[in-house]
Amino acid sequence: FHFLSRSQSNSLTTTRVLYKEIHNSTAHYFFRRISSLKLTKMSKKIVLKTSDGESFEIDDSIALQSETIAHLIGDDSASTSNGFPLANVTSNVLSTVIEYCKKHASVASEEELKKWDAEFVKVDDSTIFDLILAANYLNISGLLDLTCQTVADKIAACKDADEIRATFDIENDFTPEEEEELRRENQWSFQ
Amino acid sequence: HSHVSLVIAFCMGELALLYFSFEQLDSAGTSPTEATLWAVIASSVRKALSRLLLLAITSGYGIMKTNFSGITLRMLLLGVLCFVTSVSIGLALQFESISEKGMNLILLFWATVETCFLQWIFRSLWKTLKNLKVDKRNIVKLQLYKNFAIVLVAMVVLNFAWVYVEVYVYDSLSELWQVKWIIPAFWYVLAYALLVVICFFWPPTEKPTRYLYVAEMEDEVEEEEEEEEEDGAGFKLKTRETSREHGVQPLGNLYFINRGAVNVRNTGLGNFHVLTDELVVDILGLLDATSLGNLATVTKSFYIFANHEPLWRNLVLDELKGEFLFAGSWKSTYVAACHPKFQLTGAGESVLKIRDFYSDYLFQSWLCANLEMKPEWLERDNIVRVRGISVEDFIAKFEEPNKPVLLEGCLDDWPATEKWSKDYLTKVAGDVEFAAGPVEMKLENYFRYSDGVSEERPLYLFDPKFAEKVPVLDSEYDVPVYFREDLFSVLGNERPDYRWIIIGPSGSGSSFHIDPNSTSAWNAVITGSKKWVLFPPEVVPPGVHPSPDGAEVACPVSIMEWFMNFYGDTKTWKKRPIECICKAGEVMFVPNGWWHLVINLEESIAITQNYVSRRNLLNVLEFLKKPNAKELVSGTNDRENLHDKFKKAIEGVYPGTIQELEKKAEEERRAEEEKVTFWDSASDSKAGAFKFSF
Repeated sequence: FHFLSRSQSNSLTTTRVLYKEIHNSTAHYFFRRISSLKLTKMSKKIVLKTSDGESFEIDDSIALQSETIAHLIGDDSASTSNGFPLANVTSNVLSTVIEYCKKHASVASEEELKKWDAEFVKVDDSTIFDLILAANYLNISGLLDLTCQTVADKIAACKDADEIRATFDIENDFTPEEEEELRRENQWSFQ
Repeated sequence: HSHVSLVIAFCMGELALLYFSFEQLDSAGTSPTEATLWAVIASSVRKALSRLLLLAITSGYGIMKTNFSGITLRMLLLGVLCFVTSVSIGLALQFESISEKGMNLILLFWATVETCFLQWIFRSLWKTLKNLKVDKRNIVKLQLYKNFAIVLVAMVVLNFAWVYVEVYVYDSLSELWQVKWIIPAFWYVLAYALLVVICFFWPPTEKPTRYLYVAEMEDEVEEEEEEEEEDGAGFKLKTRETSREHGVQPLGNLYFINRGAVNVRNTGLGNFHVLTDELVVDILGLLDATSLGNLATVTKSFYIFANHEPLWRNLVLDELKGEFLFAGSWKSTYVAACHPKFQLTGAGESVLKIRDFYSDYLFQSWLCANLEMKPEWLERDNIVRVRGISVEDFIAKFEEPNKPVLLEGCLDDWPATEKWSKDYLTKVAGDVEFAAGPVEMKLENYFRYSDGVSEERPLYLFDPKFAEKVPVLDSEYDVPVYFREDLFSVLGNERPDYRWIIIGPSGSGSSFHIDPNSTSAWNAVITGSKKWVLFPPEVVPPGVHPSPDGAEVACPVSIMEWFMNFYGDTKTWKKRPIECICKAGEVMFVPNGWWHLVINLEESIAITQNYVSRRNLLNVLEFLKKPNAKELVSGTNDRENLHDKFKKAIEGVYPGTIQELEKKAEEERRAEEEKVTFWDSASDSKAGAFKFSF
């Protein structure tokens, strides 16, 4: 059942999203297309269920920023009542992700978004990694790019290996001889 | 190793028999004929086997790709000769039934055989050493063989010295008969010492189990031998790559071989360990070279991640574009170009070998880069081959019904087939820039790259403007007579790209795609060979996901991975693909709309052209008319108007052709419909001759 609404109409979107693959001896792919979204409708609510049992209800315009959810909707619009189970995402991570999606679904200038993003990623490392994993699972390209770039910038800001180890809490597992050889091999980068 | 065991076994047998015979002699005064006979035979077999063993080792068996088929016969012959001579000497010595002259003759013959062996052994040793020296990555192997050579030379010198001793000293020692035995015993000691040395240099190691790949870190020589014979999952690896291995193992090794071992990947990544391998590589892909270099010194895990070749490849291609001199690996290429003062050790050999790093993603990437094509992937060859048919025959049998075919003999009059080779092209166009993947690079630089590379998706030189860049190449080839009708030529200079020169190393190629603009194509191999897999237009190959409008094709796997994971499926399908190996001098015809995948089995140079003839003119016009023509049409900058332009141009040069073809198509369609209605009426369903009515 689709309701015609004059105020809000979504045009036909044929989103072309390709696949997610797993590198093992049995690789499998899923590929879906959402041209069946001949929806001209009012904004629908979508329920997401996290791995720790909490439910989040959000507008579909926000949820559709996640390609994974967009597939699930396109496939089986009848099961929206039960909510989509997201086995890999916990509730606090999902709430942060929803915050991001809300901001990016709203009308705002690019400058404003950039500034907001810079503030958004000022969190501790474990949250950033959780966000990366969630963005990867939910396939939200904007969030994934943002978080990966943040981590990359953190690495690039470190001058040498010791700083990197300190920043990310990594233990050195090289023997002194190996360190000597490494220093010789990578001398060109110590500038 | 089996050979060595055989030699040892025969040694023991010989000694046992000799001792038995001596016992008898000691107690009874006469030597037993039978036992002595067997002892002599055992001793001769041992001598022959040990010389053959030396010969096999020095020829580099198991170390290098020597072709043994021709030599084996000669070796066996020499071995048999040696055996026969030795037996006769032994018998003559034991039974003293032969004259002086006869004895001298046999001894002379024996000396000749020995000399043959000796010179053959040293000649092959010399050759092996030379071959090892050429390939700069086999430093450890070279050292091993050098040591062995030193030992051999020392043995020979000792041999000759002892001969001198035996000849001149032996007789004068007749009083000291108690110690006289040492002199002939020395030969045995020498032989035994050589055997010990061989066992020491080539100790046996564990054999790998099926489906799993185990790399030995300590001794590189073992690694080589293992890989040559390894069955694994039946994968044969390119031998030259073994020395660059960091030591990544697949997770299966962790679960089944080294149970309970700690995966250095996780401990070494710190907080990063929650991320998947692909995500870590993605993050590292955002770094610049200095940070990536620093990252390599953090932990063993980051060392392996930061040396992941695709990352450095992107850095090189982004920053240096086509202006790079490939130095064995992408990392050393980058460092050599941007920091020329620091020389990385030997062409990208990694300094550290890391144990206990398990990762399927990185291992898969390395495996696909270094795999050789399995023979069963190359077996099937079910394409039609023709030679010297007429153009009308070709059109009627293959172009009209849209069937692929392999044409032989078309290139016989091309000067290119004789002249073109890497050297010739370098001479003629060495510093002309050609399009290779995302960059343009000079041909000599490209060859430098393709010589030294082993990658999952090598850079492929595919240039559409080669004839304009190097006119002499244009003059040395000709369109085969079957494909002379080329309707896009009416557009003159505004025609889309239509001809390419294709040069690539082994392993390069194109994964599944349909040629653009609905054109047909021919592909002529000038040197090298290509493996083709074709599917008809309505059959989508396994592992390929086209979008419904055909604008995008998702084939995420590389060619090698497709063969590993999906090729087996095609064997069980009813609609089998058409496969073949196209060798130098043959031309492949690819009808329009057919899916095809090509992989170069060796370094290849080829020319391909896409064309439109009257047979597929209507298809092409249909295609260009499509509403999303902007994205689908390729090879030209003016995509939207191509249809109108082309139609107008055709009307101008060949007036009335389009109407003719359309009329013919209409007639055929009507004929099809009429056929259907006739059959319909003949069958029960519509005629109503017999009906149940309830």
